[in-house]
Amino acid sequence: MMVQTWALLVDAYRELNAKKMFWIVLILTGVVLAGFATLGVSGNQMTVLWYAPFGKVPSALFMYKAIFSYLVVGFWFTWVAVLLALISTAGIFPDFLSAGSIDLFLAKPITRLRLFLTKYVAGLLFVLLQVTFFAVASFVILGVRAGVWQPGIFWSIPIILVFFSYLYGVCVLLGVLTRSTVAALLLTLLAWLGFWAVDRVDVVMASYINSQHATQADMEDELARIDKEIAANPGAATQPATERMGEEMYRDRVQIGSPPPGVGTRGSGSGETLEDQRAEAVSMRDEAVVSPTVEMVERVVVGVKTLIPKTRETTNLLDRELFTDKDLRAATQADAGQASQQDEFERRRAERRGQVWIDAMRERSVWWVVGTSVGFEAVVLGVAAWLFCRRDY
Amino acid sequence: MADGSLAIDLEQVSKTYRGRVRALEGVQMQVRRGEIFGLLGPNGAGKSTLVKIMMSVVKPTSAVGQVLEKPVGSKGSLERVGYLPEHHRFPRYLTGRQTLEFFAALSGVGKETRKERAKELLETVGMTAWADRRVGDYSKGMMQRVGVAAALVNDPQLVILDEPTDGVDPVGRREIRDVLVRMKKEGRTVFINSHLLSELEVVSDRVAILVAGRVVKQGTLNELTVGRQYFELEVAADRAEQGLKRALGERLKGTWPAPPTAEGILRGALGTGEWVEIQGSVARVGTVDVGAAQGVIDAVRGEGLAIRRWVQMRPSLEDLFIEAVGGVAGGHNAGAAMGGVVKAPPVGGFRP
Repeated sequence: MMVQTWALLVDAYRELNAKKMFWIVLILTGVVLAGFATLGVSGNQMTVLWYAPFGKVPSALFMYKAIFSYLVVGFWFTWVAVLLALISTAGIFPDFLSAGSIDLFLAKPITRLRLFLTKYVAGLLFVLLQVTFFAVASFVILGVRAGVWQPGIFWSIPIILVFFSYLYGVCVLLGVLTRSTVAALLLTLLAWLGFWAVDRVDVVMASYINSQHATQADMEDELARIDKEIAANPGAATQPATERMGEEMYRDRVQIGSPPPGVGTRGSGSGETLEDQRAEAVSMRDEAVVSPTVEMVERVVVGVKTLIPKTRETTNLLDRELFTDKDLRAATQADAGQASQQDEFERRRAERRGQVWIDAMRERSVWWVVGTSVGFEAVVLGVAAWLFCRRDY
Repeated sequence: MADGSLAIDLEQVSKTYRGRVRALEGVQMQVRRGEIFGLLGPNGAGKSTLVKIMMSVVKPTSAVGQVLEKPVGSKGSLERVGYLPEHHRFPRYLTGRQTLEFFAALSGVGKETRKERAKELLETVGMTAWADRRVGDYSKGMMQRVGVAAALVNDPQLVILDEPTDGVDPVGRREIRDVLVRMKKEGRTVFINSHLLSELEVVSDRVAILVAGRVVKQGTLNELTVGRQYFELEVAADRAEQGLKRALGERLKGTWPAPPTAEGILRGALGTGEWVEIQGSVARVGTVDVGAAQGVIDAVRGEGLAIRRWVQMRPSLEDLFIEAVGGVAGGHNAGAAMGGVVKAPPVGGFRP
């Protein structure tokens, strides 16, 4: 039994080896990594080869990792390389099922299911070999050029493999159904576009809802500040700012770019009373309430998304390995630090937005992201296997 | 009931595609161990479907029968079966040697054994010089040779070949025929599905003719032509026709109930009951009994006629095939066709 399975895997390797695309993708990945390797981190500086043209960069390491995550992994590997991998592997099942070929395999003492599954796994070899090369090279580059010896990078192997497998599963089903490489490839790309579109809708809606919630929290802060001020000086509630603090001081504050606090990020207008500010804060807080319809649509979108592969979120899992909470907090605190020079409110706001970003990255569990996606893949593969096993050739 | 002497024992095999197209209807077929068996049939008769059912490529609608004592259509016997499908497409990126080793591995053959067998078989089919070239570079004939070798790579008891000489030149066909004979000598059962009737006629022990999903004839060529064989005799003499008429009519008590046909064929029967006909210097007598035929020779010689040719004739496989599929047929009871379409090679007989 192992003899047959091993023979099929070796055959798959030979098939890949014979395909020019395999080597083209491998060489292109090498070129992309070589390009990335020209960048490095030395202390607080980002370097290009042996030079530091940008001087000191706040969170240089974070930026370096971000470039790796968003450009090298996010763009190259999860879009271009996977697209090329799909182009290379889309024909595996249609070719396998073509007349004169499938007969040779079915006439062997191997059950159809095992033949199907082995052939499916063999199809994943393309990405496995590519991503293994990528992971090893990336590990070395990050270590040598940034001094970050991060074994977490090897998570890219299962993460990208499982991400590719969602699409490949769809491609296999379409290949079994249509027996056409072109149809299987195009329809798979269409499906991928569909998954991406659902994800985009979710991202846009979730960020809208989160930002509305953050605005509500900001306004609650404002109300607390205004109420505190009124409690300290009840008479000030109806006084314009110039009266509250004296016209001269008000002018001085405006002149030095630090007007007395107003609602949100703007300073208080000269004639604005605390009552005015309070009414405005209440109004903005109430406007930031998310309508039940929007909440319901988002729930539907999340429900749909639960059923389909979560391609972006799967590849983003690598960020969880690449960036520690400390990295993320340092990055958001850098923003908040800049803001705090201007305004306490702005500092808290930046911190809150940073936390929303961190929470968004971590809020959905790995099991939800991968488990439900693999569940989809299992159903798709189950249908493909059922068709493969019961069909006449 | 399993019969160990049969490699293939199909009792009732049917296949209907999509609930409408009836490809096979209750096929019954027996192939004995160690014989070369030919399956014939016109296009669309269901030959490939039958072969594919035996190889588990197509699932039967209903099937009662066994292949190497395992239920037909199951994977149970495939380890001991070699198969070459029609229009096969071996992976183009593999070399001939890799192809054999790969398909041997799929049959569960161990590493050392498959290397040895691949080497031997490449030699057997004359492909050693091309063993390490990619299949994609092969000609059709070379692919066919490698295909035959691949069908043997698991040392099978039963070899099923679908159009094995398709696209092969005459020399290659001869070599493949020799391989088939060698397979038989090695004790393998060979099942061939082919359109090349002359090829089958030479190598097959038994044949079956499949028409519209049913087996219409099955047996050895002799069995299928019983009552259809005859002796043909040609004399070299002036007034040969009169001489033959006297010899067969007067000496053997032949009767001629009707005048000669427009083609000049005089038909009748001998006193012993065999049909007989005379056409110029040729006489034909419907018997397979060589002893009985001697009486004809004696009678002809008794008339002082010199025998130029004396041949035992039977319908060819092609005649049987065409007759079975409803085309022009030869047969003694269709006397008019006799001598016209029956053009078999001599089997036994002598020439004066």
